[in-house]
Amino acid sequence: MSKATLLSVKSITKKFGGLVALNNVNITVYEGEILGLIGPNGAGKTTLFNVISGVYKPEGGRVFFDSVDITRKPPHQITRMGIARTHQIVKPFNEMTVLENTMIGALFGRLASRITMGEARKKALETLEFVGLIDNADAPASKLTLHEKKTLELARALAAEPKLLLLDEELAGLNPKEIEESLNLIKQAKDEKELTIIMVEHVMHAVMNIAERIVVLHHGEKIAEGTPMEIANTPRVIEAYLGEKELALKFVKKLKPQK
Amino acid sequence: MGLSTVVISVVHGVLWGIILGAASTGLTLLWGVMKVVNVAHGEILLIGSYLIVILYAFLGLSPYIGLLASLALGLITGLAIYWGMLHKLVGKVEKVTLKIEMSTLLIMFALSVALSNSYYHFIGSEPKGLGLWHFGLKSSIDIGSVVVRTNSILAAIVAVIIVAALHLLLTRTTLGKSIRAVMQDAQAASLVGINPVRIKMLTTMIAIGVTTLSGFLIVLHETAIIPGTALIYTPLAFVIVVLGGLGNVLGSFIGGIIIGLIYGLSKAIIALTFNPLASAPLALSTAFIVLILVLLFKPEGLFGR
Repeated sequence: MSKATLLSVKSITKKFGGLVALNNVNITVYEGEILGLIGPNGAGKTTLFNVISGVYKPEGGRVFFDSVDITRKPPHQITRMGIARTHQIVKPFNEMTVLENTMIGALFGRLASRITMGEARKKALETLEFVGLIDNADAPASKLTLHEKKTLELARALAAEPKLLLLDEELAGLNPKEIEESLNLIKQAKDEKELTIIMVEHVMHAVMNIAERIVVLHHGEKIAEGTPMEIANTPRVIEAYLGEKELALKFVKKLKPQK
Repeated sequence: MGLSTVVISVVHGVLWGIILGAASTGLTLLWGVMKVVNVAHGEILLIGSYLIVILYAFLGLSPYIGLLASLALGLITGLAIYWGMLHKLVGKVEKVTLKIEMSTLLIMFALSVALSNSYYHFIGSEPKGLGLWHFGLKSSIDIGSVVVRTNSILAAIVAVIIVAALHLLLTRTTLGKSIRAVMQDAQAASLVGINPVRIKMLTTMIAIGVTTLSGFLIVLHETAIIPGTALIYTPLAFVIVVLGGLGNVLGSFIGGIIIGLIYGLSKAIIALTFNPLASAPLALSTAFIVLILVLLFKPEGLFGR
């Protein structure tokens, strides 16, 4: 596996009034990896996603994507450069059909301005086939279940042909069977489409299983970084987040045989 | 006698309704997509109407050329209104609050007064129109027992074309899809790669362009216009847009026809049972009773979102 850097977050500081949401955070993401981003509620995970995707402008620091400084770029330009994301609270365009939602991903993603309506439609249908939503192509997005809406957001993001995919709590609110389905889909997408993925996740066993490396945020600071096994053994992480060490190790052990 | 009064009123009401529906689409776009409450809607309609009259009366240019000119002037006016007035209020805002919406209402109110006073000053309060110009060979034709002016028929045809074109633009084109995406969630739209500022600018241009273009419909249907004509069309457009659902172009069109029909029917009933002279103004009042009822019982509109 190549170790080329795809994204580097350098000394990012983001404040909301007096609250420091991110404090001097440094993260490097390598091409082709899945990086897990974990931390208690309010740790700054979604804020970091918003800084990377251009929704928030940080007070300090820089974000480089493919060696280009994207810190001050507006969200739509960043998306077109190849960063797509899904949302913790799903945001499909409810009054459009599943197919239209996915077409929008293709029309304005990395291929924007080079893709025709017909090509976007084809791309969207392929993507819906891939994620398993093809039977709902003509349904309004508002009629989908939560799991389907999350899958639709994934389809919309994938149709944009991104290099980097930001998944914000893709598994939250899903039942165990749905979690397994989504995890398989994410793995498959990563392999087939040569994606790099950052996933914010609370479903601990899932992220410990799927991610190659984990970064832990706590009160806006990076407190640990390493393989899932290393993270589960870091005292500060256990103290801040995972609770008991035994429980933490259990997560890792439970999943190790599958690796 | 009674029945023919009803038929005449209904036919005229529906014709007017088609025109009203098309003339309200610009308002529904601005309000639905950008949360801009355009209370200058009627005065902006008259930009188109007066331009057509001026080109015809002073330069002898056909109203068809005036039609294209009014669209062009509207697109330019839309560009100016966006950068001069709206961008600062709604351009970079992801979620337009009620407070901002109120500011757009006030700023558009200022524009309506400015335009209205300019009309009185530069054009005057006398009725202006296209004189004897009419569509086709005759100025009016008989449909069954109903006499209809050919200009109103032309206006209705153009109205249907405007609505169909706008509907196709919104549903079939990339631009239309991005307009609808921004309408539903500007932030989510920017995160799938749509530039919301560009879309809001283009939406304003299209909305104002289609409004001045609809000035053609008004001048044809009304035979003569005065600056005060705006004061009929602004509130009616609001009734229609609320009825059709904000941002819903086809809803506005159908809302217009419904209002035209209600107007025609109540006009006939009032004329037959009460007083023919009072029928027109009282029938207009019924349209606003509809607005009150819709706001109370179906605030999302008949085809609401």
